[in-house]
Amino acid sequence: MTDQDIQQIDKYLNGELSAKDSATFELRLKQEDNLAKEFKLQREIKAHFQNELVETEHFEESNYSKELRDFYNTDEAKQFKKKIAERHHNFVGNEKQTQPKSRNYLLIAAAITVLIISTLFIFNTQDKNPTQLYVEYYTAEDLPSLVQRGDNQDNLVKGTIAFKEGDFIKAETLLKSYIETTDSPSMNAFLYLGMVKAELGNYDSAMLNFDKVLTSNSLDASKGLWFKALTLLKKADIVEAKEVLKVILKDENNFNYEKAKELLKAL
Amino acid sequence: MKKITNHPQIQQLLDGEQQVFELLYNSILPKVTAFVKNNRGQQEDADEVFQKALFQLIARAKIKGVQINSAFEAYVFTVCKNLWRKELNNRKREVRNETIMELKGAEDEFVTEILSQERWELFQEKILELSENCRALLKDYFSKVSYKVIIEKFNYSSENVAFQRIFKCKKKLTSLITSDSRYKDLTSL
Repeated sequence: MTDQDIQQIDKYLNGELSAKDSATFELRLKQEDNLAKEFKLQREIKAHFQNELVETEHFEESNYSKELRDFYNTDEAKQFKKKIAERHHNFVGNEKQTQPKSRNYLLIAAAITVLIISTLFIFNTQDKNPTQLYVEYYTAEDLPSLVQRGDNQDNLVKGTIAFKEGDFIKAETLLKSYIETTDSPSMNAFLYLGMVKAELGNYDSAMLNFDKVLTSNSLDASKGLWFKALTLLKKADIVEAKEVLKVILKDENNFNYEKAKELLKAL
Repeated sequence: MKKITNHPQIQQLLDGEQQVFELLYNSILPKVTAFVKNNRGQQEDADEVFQKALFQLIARAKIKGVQINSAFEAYVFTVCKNLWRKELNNRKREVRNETIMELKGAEDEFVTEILSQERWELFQEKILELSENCRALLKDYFSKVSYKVIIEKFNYSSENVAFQRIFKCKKKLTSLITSDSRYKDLTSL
């Protein structure tokens, strides 16, 4: 593949070739396998950057595709499929029974979510379930960004990075190791560890970590309250979440005071 | 085939743990539904795409493991988005009737969907391996930002310099993709 060929592919994809040159290029695409392959790849790269999906309809058969086919036909795969359908029915079906209007308000909630994402404004969030509110109010930006200031902080910084990358198990190990090996560990470590525990569904332990933040002398101590409230939302414990939000509202200097007000109203 | 360690939530999915299904249904399905409905789909489409995504993840985890480089929620959402885009492409093709539609069996569809997703992930990973400068440059280039703006933004001395740089970045990306050992399993015909 010459550089000229690649440039020609680009021009064709950008619609920069004359009708005559386009026709010649299309003919070449039919005749030259390598050019056609390169063309497909370049088209796919372009689509990827444009958030589109150029579909590959046919893949060469490989050992991997054979393994996939074999798996598809096993009883185990059929069982998994059946279980997924059952779970789906249970979740979506239960929602219908217990919350008759849920379909409608899911639609509304979805529309609102899109609006919020595109405008970054917070709208009235009434009629949303706690998990939806959690998703809406939790932002990793409320967690401090840490930079390394010494070797002993290595695991702390690495732990926060692992958390942001969604590797909660690794984050947990690193943060714990930092806390255990440091004389007076940063409160941020407990904040992150709390969120790690919440993400892993270990809510009680999450609460203990936030309590440590809350009872510290740190300037950010009130962050502990905010993340406690969020964790309770995630756990769908509305009663407790409200209580914590009320505590935040006792002092205007508390972290996310305004957001807490909104959230309490939405609950 | 070497098995990659599964993400803890993928493992929970394999084990059928309630906790992960609560996360999936309470926080991810609403997002998927919103996306599908905003892109010419119905509730039923979202339900189908979601179940397909879960089955796909299980199958991949069983065969060679799934490696996730982002948050689990974001990852599942991406898989669903790609499945829905693929479905929309299929529908468009049917409407245009451009090619003779082959009747594809469910098994073929399942295999193609997984390979497409893994190909998409490979592209994504390789884009992240580029230098920050290359990534930003290609992003602007494919978003059709004019050369004039690119020259100013990236401090290039001329249009030709910008053109050469874009060309080099694209070549680098192509080579990163095609030289990865996974690429041979994900090659299109």
